[in-house]
Amino acid sequence: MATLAKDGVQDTPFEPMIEIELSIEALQAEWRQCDGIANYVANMISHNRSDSIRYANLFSSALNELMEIAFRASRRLDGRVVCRILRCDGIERVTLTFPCAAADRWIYEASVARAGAEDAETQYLSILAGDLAPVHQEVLSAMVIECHARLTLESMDAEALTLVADLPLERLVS
Amino acid sequence: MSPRLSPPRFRTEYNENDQVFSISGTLRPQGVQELASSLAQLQDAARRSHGVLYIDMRRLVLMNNTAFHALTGVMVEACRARPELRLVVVISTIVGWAARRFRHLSQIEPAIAVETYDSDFYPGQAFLEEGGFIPILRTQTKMTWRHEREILPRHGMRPGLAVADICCGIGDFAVLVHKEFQPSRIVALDHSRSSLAYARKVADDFGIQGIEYTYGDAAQMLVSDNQFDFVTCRHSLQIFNRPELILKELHRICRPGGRIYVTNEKNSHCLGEPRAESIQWTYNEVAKLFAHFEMDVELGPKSRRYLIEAGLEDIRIESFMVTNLDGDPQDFVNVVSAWEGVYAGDMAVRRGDSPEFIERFRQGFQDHIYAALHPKGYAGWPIWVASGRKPA
Repeated sequence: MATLAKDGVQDTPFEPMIEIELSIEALQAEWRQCDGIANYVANMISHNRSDSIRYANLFSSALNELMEIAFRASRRLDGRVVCRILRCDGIERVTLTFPCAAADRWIYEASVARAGAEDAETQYLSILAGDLAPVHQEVLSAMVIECHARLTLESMDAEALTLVADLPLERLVS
Repeated sequence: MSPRLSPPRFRTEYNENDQVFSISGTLRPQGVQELASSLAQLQDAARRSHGVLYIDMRRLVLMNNTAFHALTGVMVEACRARPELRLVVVISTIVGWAARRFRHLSQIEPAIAVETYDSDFYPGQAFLEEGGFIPILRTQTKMTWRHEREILPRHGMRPGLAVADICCGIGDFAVLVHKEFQPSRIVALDHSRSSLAYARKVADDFGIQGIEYTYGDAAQMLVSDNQFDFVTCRHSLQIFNRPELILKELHRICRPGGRIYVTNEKNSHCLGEPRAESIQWTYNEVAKLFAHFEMDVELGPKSRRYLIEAGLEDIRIESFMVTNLDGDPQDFVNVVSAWEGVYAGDMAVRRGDSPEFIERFRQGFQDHIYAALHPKGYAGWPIWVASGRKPA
């Protein structure tokens, strides 16, 4: 069971809520799958949040960006995309597994590292002001700065990567 | 591989008179080229505007990073090309991501300001949403519920429906519907945070679970299309200056075959005996007073026309009279007394009415109270109920 360990607070289990799995080919066949999955999952998990409609909107916004990252994954690979949502109190954990060649992992590792860096906001503002940056970096930085996300990466196997995003959205909606 | 182009789900428009460029809908393109014409339109708007260009994003429901990056780029470039130009981006705090995303714009370009559009949605309604008026809203609902619990089934309400109560106020109607009709889902939306806070507290106090209270703008809800079997909007079309916009949204979120149910008043038809003349004068003046603040509290009998014009079919309309004989007459008195406080004490003063007018205006409410408490008296408050079916 995944746990949250932050600020010395005792680990609390994340409870699984929903899981969606499809082939990368099926996802990449239609761009709007990202939008459709994000909205569907957001509506499914938000009903018992304090403001279900606004929570669903905010969660959809975050999940769509993650699904778009998976959509943009290498087209040379086969494999599955698995999106799991887990909950621990006011935090939603998204674990998104998608095909990724070992040689490409550094792109995501670098983006996650930069998004969590001390000067992440400065870098993010530079990107908004016109500096060039990989789209992953901008998206993940935005998620950290605007949604207070905590991001980590896990390697599933040689050709898949799992991006984990803890999203404390409930307090942002309240 | 080039992205597949799908029909756009967003709309852009430039109003040259007001120098407002508005974007609404869902903006999640795969590539910037899908936005090319809209970005060109924005660039053109920036070139043709003088002083301030407003970018209205209040009704932009969803937007991905691709779109945000592209729009930001155009806005920043426009400001740098024309240093005398200021851009004001208007967002709604209802859309949580928007406030968070756009707050950075002024940091990267000082000529861009970000303004939120929030409790000032419908400033005229503020009179009706202050904390002091809340207890009386509960009494009003208690009085109307005696009638509506019988009326609602005639308009299609039954157990197991997905229900939305739009402009739910303090949420007491949603609680009563939840108890009486056991909907499969019930969402209650209002744009007053204080009313919603009260609603949530009442629900907590009474251990009521399952009502989804949400903060939102009835004229542009975050709710997806075709979600609800039964959409209610009570005593609210009459206090919006453009009720057709609300009806358009009610229609959008209602499932084909579902029904939209509205209640509204015709204040000039409030009545009482004895002292009928004074009462009638005052309530005629109530209608004029609300009209001054762009609210039509005479809308009740016009409901049928509004529902037909909204594209609904199988319109059903009826009226009922809340009276001093419905339960405790003191409830009726409390309601009229609260009306006097708000209408004569706040609204008439705000309009600039003379003390003489206000004194006579108050007298009509006092006479209505007199009629309600008179052993042989009768006092009434008429309400129109109308519903229509969204074509399948």
